[in-house]
Amino acid sequence: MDIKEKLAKLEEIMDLDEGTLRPEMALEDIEEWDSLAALSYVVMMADDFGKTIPGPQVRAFKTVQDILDTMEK
Amino acid sequence: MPYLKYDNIRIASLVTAVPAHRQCITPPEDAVNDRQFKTYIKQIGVQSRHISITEQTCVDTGYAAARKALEMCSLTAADLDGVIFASQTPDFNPSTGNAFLLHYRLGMREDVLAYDITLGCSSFPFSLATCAALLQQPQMRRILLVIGDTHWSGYINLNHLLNCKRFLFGEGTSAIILERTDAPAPEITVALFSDGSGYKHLHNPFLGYRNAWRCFPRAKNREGTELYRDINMDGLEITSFATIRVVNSIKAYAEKTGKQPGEYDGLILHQANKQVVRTITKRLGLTDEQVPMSLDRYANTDGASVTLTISDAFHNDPREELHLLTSAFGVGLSWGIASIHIRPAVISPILLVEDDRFEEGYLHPFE
Repeated sequence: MDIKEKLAKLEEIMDLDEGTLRPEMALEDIEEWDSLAALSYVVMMADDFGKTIPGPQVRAFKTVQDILDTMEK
Repeated sequence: MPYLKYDNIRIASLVTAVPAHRQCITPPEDAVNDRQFKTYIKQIGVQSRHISITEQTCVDTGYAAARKALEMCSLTAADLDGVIFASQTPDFNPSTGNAFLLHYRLGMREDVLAYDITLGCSSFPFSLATCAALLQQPQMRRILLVIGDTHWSGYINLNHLLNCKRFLFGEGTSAIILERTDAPAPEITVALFSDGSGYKHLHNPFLGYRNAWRCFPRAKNREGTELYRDINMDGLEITSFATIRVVNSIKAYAEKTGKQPGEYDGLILHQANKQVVRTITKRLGLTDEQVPMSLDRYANTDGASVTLTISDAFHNDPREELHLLTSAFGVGLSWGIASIHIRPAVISPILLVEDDRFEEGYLHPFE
């Protein structure tokens, strides 16, 4: 999965228009990164990447890049 | 997986009772446009709930439900060989369990068993399996299973607008009469799971005995503010547990039983919150119609939410008999799956209980 596809997945999770997210963006500036999105992310990681991401790791994310780094099989 | 099968147990009646007082959940005016509140409503999905305004407990609603459940199958309390109360909120603590209070109030015989099972949201499959196992004894014919918790007491000091727990829970108590049959009955199949390492994701550090000396009469933080005696809930851990591990178990159960979730007459989930119910629905490839929801009108009623949802969705179903798949999950961590056969004719519409309470055990502090 290339970076474009990964960003598109995250945009879908956060209900954002395509092309809104950039890797360097700080998550605290993204209103849509909320508890709903966080759960969708955890479920997506389990379904698409077969990974279990613990809560503390999700809460430690600072930027979009931090999330992208986890999206590997 | 512990995989329990019973082919001689039937549900003789199911009644869910709620306090008559209905409360609509509306945001205060200054919070209508609050993003956090909107997200919260979207995630939780509770629009109204029933809550006691006269300090009625789950034993009071349980009593009303139990009386109705006996009446529906033309039985009296003397016909019961046991009462099991699944609850985390005993009327008196320590001391008796809620089961004893019901035993007394219903006027049951002395040569019967009465005890509580202290599970929360997951209690339906666990207590069902316990009752079914007890009923295998020849001397045991009928057990009254009551499931419910008291919630209003948790709100006394909760004034924080956006504290999600404030609106998440509602009150309701189910009474189920389980009966051993002489002829083979359609199978009840239960699978149970436990993971004690997850206790910390959902527990109350302020009540109980672990921290008793520091929390009595009231725990305070460094600034001297009283702490809520509230549950500690790691929302993300709990919701991902419910939507990933529980779903994996349901899939394993389907493989073992050879019947897919979509082939039942409905999948009844613990009404944790709307997002959890809908995410599980989606992950199992089911439609919203196959997974009835009651939490929009009754909120999350803990252990009673599975049976409350069955009461709500199927009490007037025209079919002769239903084969339902149920799954409940919560503190422990614990989770379970149970498939049951139930005739809609034995399901009562949800009973509204006027706010009367058991006076004998009540202290009148202002008299």
